[in-house]
Amino acid sequence: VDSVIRAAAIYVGLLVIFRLTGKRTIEQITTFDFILLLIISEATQQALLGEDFSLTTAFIVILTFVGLELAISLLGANIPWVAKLVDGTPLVVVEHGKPIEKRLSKSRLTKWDILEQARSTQGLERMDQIKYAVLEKSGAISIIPYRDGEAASA
Amino acid sequence: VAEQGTDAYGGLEIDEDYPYQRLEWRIERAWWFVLLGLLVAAVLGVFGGGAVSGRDSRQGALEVEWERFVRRDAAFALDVTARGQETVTVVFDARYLELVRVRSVEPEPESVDLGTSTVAYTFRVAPGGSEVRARFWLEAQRAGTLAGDVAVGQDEVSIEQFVYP
Repeated sequence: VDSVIRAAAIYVGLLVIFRLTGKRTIEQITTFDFILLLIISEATQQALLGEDFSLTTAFIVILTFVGLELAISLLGANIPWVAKLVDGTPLVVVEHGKPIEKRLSKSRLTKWDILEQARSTQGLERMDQIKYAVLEKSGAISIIPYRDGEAASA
Repeated sequence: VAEQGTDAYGGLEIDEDYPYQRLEWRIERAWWFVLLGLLVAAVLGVFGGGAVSGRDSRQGALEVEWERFVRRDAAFALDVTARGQETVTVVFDARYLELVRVRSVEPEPESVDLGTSTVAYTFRVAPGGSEVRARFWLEAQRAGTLAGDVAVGQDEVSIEQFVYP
């Protein structure tokens, strides 16, 4: 019972912290973010297992995590607000070649982040080649370029 | 919540929810202050080991220093300073020691005597000396409040602690 409660507490705690701290922390992993993740896992590992190194406890902890993950995805698939609460919603940050500054700054992004993504995924050169850019739930930025013949001035 | 946004961007079919997104940003901003508050509290010792947590009580020939806030499964020190001739006996009530684990006692006591509701640690005072200073390394076994008494002779100090999970 104890390890189930511990694992559930850590799952919920981490979910809340990561969700509240924002999308950028999860996606766009830099070298330092990677080290940060290692430190976080090391810090939680001790609290999860304590001084109990048995196989049973290890599997109970794993099962708790997998079970919670499953439960939340099941809930999210059936109840829209649960999915919204846990995963958030996508957000359009560039519309018809124009960055929406307020949305970008609130999401802690700049137009340079958008352009970087446009270059690396679509080979685009300028903002006016982007029809839409969407900050996805995962924290990734999707770029939708204008198709050939489509006008950039809308 | 109604499905929305399909028409907001021409052909872009997306489940954007800007009102919800704004609520989320507001909560995010509030969280930053909570985060800052938690960090300041941790530095001050609200979670143990800082200025807010240290306690010191003197009662006649007995002085006890301990931590108001401790954490489960983490060792904390309880310092007892007492005056006495030849031997000094530090008496804990057993209900306190039931809830904490005694990791070690520095220096080693000469004897440990179990009473019906007490545990007594006896230390020998060096010839010519008049004081014993002992450190008990303890570890709370469960979260919640902890209370107990430490006594030397007639002098008694009451301890109250909060254990974080």
